[in-house]
Amino acid sequence: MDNLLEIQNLTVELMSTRGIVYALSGVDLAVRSGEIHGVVGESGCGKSMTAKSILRLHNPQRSRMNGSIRFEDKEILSLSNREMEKLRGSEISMIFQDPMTSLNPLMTIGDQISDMYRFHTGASKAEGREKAQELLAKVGIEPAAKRCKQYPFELSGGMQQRVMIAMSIACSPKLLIADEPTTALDVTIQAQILELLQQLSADLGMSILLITHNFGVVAETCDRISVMYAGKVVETGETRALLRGACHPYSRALIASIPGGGARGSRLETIPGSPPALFEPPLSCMFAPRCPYADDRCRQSYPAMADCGGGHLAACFRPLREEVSPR
Amino acid sequence: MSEPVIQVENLVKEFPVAGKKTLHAVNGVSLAVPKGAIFGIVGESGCGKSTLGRCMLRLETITGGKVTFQGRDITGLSGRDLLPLRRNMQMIFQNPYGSFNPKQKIGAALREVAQVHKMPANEAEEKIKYLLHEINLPEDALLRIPSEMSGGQLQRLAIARALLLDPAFIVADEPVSALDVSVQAQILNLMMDLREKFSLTMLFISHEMTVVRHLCDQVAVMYLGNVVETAESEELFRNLLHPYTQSLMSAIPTMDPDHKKQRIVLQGDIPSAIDLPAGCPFADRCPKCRDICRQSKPELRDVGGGHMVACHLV
Repeated sequence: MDNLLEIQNLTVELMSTRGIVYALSGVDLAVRSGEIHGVVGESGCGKSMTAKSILRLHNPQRSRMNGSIRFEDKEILSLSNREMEKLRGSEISMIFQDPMTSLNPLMTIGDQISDMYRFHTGASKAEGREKAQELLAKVGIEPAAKRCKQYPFELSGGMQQRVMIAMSIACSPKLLIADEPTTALDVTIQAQILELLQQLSADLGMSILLITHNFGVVAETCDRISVMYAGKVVETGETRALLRGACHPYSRALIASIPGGGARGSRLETIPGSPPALFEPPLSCMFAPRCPYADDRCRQSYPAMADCGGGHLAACFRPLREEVSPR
Repeated sequence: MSEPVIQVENLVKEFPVAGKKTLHAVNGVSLAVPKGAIFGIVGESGCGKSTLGRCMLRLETITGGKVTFQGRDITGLSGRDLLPLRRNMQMIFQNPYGSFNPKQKIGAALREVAQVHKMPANEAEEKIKYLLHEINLPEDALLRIPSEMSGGQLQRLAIARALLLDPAFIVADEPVSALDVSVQAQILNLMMDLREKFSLTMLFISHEMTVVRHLCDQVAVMYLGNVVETAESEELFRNLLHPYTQSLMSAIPTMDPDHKKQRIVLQGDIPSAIDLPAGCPFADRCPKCRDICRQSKPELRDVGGGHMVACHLV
């Protein structure tokens, strides 16, 4: 399968009042055509930063980006601002965690969808209105004609997220970036939204980059997973292979800390220490100080991504091999 | 089972809303938390779980029903009469950054609790040091302000603050929901350690079934202000009876990629708590709904071994 999006050695440095923050320090990530690719990690690991970099949403005055982001035959980092504006929302679109703050509270949802569609296609008002209804019906908001005239506050959180999804697929993008799309929603609504995203991906042949902190969500929706830690991807692999036999000690520890496996009241696995502050560029493995398997090599140099069998990549000098039973 | 520390009978809490309407937040809930138990309340947003916890602590006035704490009716107490009660009841909130004054040093925040409840200063100082040791934080944490602490550390301090006065009852409202899983695991381990040492009695409110299953002895599932199912934790999770509990459980994404095939995806949203449906509160979304479900509201009844379910079809 071809790669639709290929990120290579992406670094992002942000200027903060306390000095430079090395938010991303060499991210490698590839999204294939038509796949749902999950990015998991804890707060501050750079998942959202990676997503924002793809659409170049950082303030150019306070950040520096290096490396390469190839989308089809375009190099995103060298596009002009005008070209970027065309790309956002039409070829690559994005939905966020909190739909209420992504929607304009003073415009009807029909107008918002139609505006966005007309901006990219130059369609007439009537065409825009028709498209809005068609899209709302597609994401399961019925009766669409009546719902078009409603304002965001009249809809529940799950419905608002559906509106965001409708808007994001208006121009049939090739890639949808979904940044924690279900984190603010209840589990029963989360199940509905995930099902919708999977169905749209299959119907439209659209790739989805799904960013989440929830391993359960990626396990059920994604074809492949990338695990991030401290501004880098540390492991990438096919979902089932990665969940059964994570090779990187961090991925394995993170999976083990999720409650649900052991008996009631049994101790949960924890990871000692806390993630590093990112004020210095990483020279050695960032996980080494917390890793039970670390040796001198881990503390002196950074491991490159290497195959640990079947296209399953991990950035670790001492990858773990044995499988664990699924939960 | 030992006698309950706190008990609510047929508790009702209503809030007035615009247009002379009423929001029925809690709709006749009865439960009892035995001494030394962790009682879990699960449900989705707006099901009334937090309001129930706040009513039990008497942070809200109560519309109907009765709350008995340590054998004493506290339903109608107000103002000054509540202060001695507060000493015996504490709360831990979801967002630790929101539960500490951002400009106040941690030490001052903890000492303030002791002062308000007239605990001698030297005794308080000793207790604080002891608790810091129990939660694995160094003593210089007392000199810091909240923004210098991580979310996990601050949540530990919130737990220490709640334990400072040796309360008989603690309500923990989503205490691990704002934390990353690896930190969540640390806090849950800490709570399990502390419950042994301090023989805590706790109401643990959460939307996460897996966390509740791991930690709690007894569980009640709430929907739209009602308890729809309650039992001892092991019994409940082994034998899910109410269709809502079943679908809630099946909606949780799990690590097993094959799980999804048996998932029940509920249609629609939780109905508004302002215009309550006449029959079963879950009827509109229930995959097994029959005529009777829309006509009369099922009562919570024992189906054996203390497993209570409110469903016509069980």
